[in-house]
Amino acid sequence: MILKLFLIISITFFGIWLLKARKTARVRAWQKMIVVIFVIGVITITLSPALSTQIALFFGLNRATDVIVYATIILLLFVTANIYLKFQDLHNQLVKIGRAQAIQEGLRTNQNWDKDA
Amino acid sequence: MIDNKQVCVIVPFYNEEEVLEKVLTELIANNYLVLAVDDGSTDKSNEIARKMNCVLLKHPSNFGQGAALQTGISFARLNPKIEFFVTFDSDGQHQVSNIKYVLKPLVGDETDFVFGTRFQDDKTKFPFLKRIVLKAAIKYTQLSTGVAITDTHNGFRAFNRSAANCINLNFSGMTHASEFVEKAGKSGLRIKEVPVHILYTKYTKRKGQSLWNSINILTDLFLR
Repeated sequence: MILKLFLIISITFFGIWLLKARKTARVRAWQKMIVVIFVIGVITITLSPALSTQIALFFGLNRATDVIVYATIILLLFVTANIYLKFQDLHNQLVKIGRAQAIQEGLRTNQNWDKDA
Repeated sequence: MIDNKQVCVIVPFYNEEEVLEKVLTELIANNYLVLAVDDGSTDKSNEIARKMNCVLLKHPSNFGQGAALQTGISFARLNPKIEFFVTFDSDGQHQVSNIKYVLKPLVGDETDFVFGTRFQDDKTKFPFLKRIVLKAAIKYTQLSTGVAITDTHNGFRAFNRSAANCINLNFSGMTHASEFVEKAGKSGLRIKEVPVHILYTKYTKRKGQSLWNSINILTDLFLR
């Protein structure tokens, strides 16, 4: 029961974290849907393990373990891509700040640079 | 005839202490307005550039060549006296003597953007594997941008002010080469190619773009 509780709490916190990860409206909407489905799925399977076998059979798999492994792989890919894009965003913001600083310094040391005469 | 001071040669560099002085000296000797962009070098490159008669900008960290080029372009655009912009590698593989060739169609207002090409003559001697990877990358860029030029990944470029105003690179790393082609194409600029000679020496092969970067570029283009 402690493990189940741990799983439910950690997946809930994970969901909250993922919801806050990115900012564009469409991506955020997709993230919310994925997280809600995943959280409901994990809680349901945790409380009723027999259901995972039925899901496995529904998807044409023999073992419930396979469903969980596949779902985990999909989620891992989703999270990895999400983190990659988030890092790209942060890098781009850092570049903009660095560029603004370099240009400001350049204008300070070359005072007639932007003057016509 | 143009005054070379109207031509801003943008030279991004990162840890090029072995060759930077020679490259900058030759550009300055030809009276070009040289804008060197230090992309966070950790060797003596910055010290070397600082002693030269050029304008020097410095990134606080290593952001990538694309980011350094955009910083150079953004800064150069602020100077109303600059009519033409040239992007030039700092590792010595570009030839200063070729600048007049890439500028010629711009000065005559035949075009807005000139891409240097290695594939319209046989002056450039490619390492075998590099030729194959480049050809594949060029084909991909041609298909994805719809711009039919023969050398999309050549850092030797020249453009006028209206083209410079259209260029706003988002990719910091080496993917900027495809982005230049894409933005020039989408902005409806007149594009022309001019043969340039790229010199592959032991140093440029060691310091230049790794072929592994083609995988990074594809990933960037796919995940953007």
